[in-house]
Amino acid sequence: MDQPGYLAILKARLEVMAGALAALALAAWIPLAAQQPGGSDARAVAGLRTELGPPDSSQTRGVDAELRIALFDLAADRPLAALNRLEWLRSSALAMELDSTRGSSAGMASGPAAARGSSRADLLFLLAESYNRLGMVGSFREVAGALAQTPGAERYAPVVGSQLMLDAYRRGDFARVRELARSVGSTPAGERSPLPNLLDGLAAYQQGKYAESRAAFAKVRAEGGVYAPYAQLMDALAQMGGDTTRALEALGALRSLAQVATGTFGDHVRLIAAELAYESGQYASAVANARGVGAGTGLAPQALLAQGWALYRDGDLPAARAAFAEFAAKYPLLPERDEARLMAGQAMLEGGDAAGAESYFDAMADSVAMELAALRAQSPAQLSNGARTLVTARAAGIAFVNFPRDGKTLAFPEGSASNISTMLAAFSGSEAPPPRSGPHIVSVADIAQRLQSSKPNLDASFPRRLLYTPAGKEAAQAYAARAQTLADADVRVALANYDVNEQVEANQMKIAALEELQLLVALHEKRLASDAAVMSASRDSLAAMRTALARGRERVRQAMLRRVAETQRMAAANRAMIDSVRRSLQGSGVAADDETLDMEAQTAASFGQLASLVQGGLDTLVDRHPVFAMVDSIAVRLRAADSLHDEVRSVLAADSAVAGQALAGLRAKESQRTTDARNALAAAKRERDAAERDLVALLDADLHTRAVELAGELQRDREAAEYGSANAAFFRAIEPAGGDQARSDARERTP
Amino acid sequence: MRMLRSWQLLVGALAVLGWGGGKLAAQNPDTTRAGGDTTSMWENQRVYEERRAQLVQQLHEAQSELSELRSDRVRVEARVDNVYAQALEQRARTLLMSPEQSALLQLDSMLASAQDRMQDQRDRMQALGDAVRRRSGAVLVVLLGADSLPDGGLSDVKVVLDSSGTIDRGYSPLAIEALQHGAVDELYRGELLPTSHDVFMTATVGGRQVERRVSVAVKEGTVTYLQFSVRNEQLVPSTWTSRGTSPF
Repeated sequence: MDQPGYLAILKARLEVMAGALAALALAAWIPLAAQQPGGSDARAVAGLRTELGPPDSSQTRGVDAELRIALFDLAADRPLAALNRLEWLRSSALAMELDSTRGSSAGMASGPAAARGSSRADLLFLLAESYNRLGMVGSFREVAGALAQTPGAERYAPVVGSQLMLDAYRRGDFARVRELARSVGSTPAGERSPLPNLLDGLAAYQQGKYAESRAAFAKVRAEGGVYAPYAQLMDALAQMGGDTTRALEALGALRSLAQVATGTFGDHVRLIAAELAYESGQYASAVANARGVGAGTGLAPQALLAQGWALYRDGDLPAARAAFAEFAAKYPLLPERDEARLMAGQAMLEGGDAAGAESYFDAMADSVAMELAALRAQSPAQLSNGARTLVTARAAGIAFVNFPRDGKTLAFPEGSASNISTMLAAFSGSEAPPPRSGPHIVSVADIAQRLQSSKPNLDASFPRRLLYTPAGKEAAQAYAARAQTLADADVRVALANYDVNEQVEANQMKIAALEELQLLVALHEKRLASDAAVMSASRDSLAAMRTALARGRERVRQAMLRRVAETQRMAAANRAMIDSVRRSLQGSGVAADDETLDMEAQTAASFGQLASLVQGGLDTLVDRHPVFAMVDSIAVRLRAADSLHDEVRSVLAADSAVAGQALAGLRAKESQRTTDARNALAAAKRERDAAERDLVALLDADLHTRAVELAGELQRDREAAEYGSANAAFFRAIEPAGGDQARSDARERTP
Repeated sequence: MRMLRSWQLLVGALAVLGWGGGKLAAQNPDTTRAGGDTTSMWENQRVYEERRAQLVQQLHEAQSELSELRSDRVRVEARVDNVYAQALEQRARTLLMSPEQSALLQLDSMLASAQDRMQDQRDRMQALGDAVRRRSGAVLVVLLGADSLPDGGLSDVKVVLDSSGTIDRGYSPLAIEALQHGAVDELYRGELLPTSHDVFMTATVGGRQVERRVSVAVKEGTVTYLQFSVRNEQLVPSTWTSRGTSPF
């Protein structure tokens, strides 16, 4: 987890809970009724909230979500986070889910972006992209190979194929580039991306297959876009067919481009045009093109040198001398420095300034002699330290850059926005946007900047010229493999470190969750105490109620007895009245009257019996009164509540104990997964250290070789300067007779 | 009871009628004096007319008094009914023991409420304790996706979990492009207690602020996903669970 805030949230939540706990303690003074839920605030909150139903269980959706998170991480330039997730996903049994959900949309979120479920091909594609972005080319190639064998991966073939071509081109495997060029498919829109064609053309050019390279460049130019101008440039070079005598043809092809090209690419075009013009003997054109290269740009050194030579060949000796001198002064680290100094002296000499040339050559010889002495004084340990520093700063590559002086090293930035857009489009199956930026041309300035910004910095006494001295062929070949091993090891260490941090953070979150449980227990204990207070009050109330009810019972009983007595009295009175009427009607009443009186008598008797019945069962009846039944039920409820209270208290105590135990365990010892992650980190560090040592050894050996070569060069340059000085002394001695002829002869001998 | 009321009404009615009947009977002798010669016939006629008028007047007065008596009787009846109702109510109170019952009901209600709370506490805390004992964690993952985004995009995303702690997110054009291609941003992932949690999200979608608060039940032993999707300029939540889909 590299996103800050997760733990912060947990801590904030714990603080809020602790606050609630404190508030609850204060609220013990507040009447119980006021603490009941359902207040206006509670209702207001409930009104805003959506209670989501029970979540569905869906493994497919879970795996799909993890892949889409990884996709976002890649787009947000968090390839390490993406790789960690994807490697885990690939190695887990969950990957099986992807085999069964290929291309289906079941259970996925709606919307065009999520129109299909993820598949194993998606997983492998994202994994390949992660490796590629992190520069783990070995792993990238392995996953790309697996992807090619996976059903449903066709959509990714153009993107991954282009990346494989770039990788092969970097390694100088031009045959592989061309083989891939034939197999890389088209984009979903049916068009082929221009990058494979450009790489195909470059590889063919490197193989000396100029006609084929021109065919490929023609395709790139026809498609247009950011690669088209570069294809035009390369097409012009291919037109020469490797024969510098045909430079004039190439120059013709470049002229139009040189006029319109801008920026670094424009400088590049003008520099090549200057060199071609020089090769063709068009020195004025060479000078004009060389001067068109920006003075402060990365290609300025080579342009200045080309300008010096063209001016020299064109016979403008003062200007040539100035150009050579400027080059030597501005770029003292470049191997051509002494060549420029010698040519500056030569121009002086040929310009008729034999005395000046003599002293210039003398000064140069002294300077070179001092430099040589300093170089020879360097201990092997100093060079070794330099090698170690460069490797530690991961800047060893600058010692192995090919042709930085003439701008023949290209860089295709992997993390560029256009590449991410292409990746996103491939994932969603939509049309890829055109590339937004072309290749970057690596220049001397880039090397200087990289050297300056590297940490740790090289020691001031380290002979930096060694870094600009061409590497040995074998060392250069070995460097690529060892640097790759080290780069892989670096990523493995970063990945292992990331995993350790994630495990540690997960552990902290577990601890936080348990602390939350402890706070929750404390919170519930407070609530339980308030419930206990309710029960205690209820118990007291119930006792008081029993006394009151006893009085009430007697009151009811007396009331009922009074009613019974009254009813009995009235029944007796009615009976007497009926008897009296019956006596009055003696003999004169009809049958109906008798019947009525019998009925009335029966009624009065019933009332009397009823009253007697009630009187007999009065105590039982009163006892059946709902109030007395309620007292009993409340007593039962109170006992149940007491029991529940004890149960809750016991549960809380158990929770507290289990949380405390788990917390102690988590705090005392790391989880096995964390330990495993730490072991993996230690192993990765050991591998990295070994890779570092290998690379240091390689660079150290090569720097020593370079030092010997540079010493030889310096020795030769010193001798050349001494020769120049002697030559100048000779011309000075013979001046003015025959001087011009002698200088002319000397110029003819100049390479 | 009906019998008793009938008797009372009967007694009252008889009393009223007896008083009115006595007054009418006292006037009867005056109406029997009439007769004599012609002279006196006119005189008699005049006397008769006067007497008749007087009697008619008396009759009207008697009828008027009768009406009043009828009104009085209604009032008396109402009073009797009222007294009777009060007596009944008093008796009912005595019999039902209303104050005691009311107090007991309150007591019962308080106890029931406390019991409910304690039961809820017991069940919830027991479940939490069991989850800890089983060491089966509960992971919540909060995601943000975009099914459709209006002009103006998406910005100022804030997530608040359980009313505390805020995660802020801003999105670059590239990040928004990623969301539009089906990527989802993981806003939160963490182990939580397996209980209900409150998640509140606000965002500015197409220049308009929208918000959504949901309560999601996080189950133990699972990864619970809560995804907010921007759809039709609204935040639409959905949730699902998976097992084992968390790297830690």
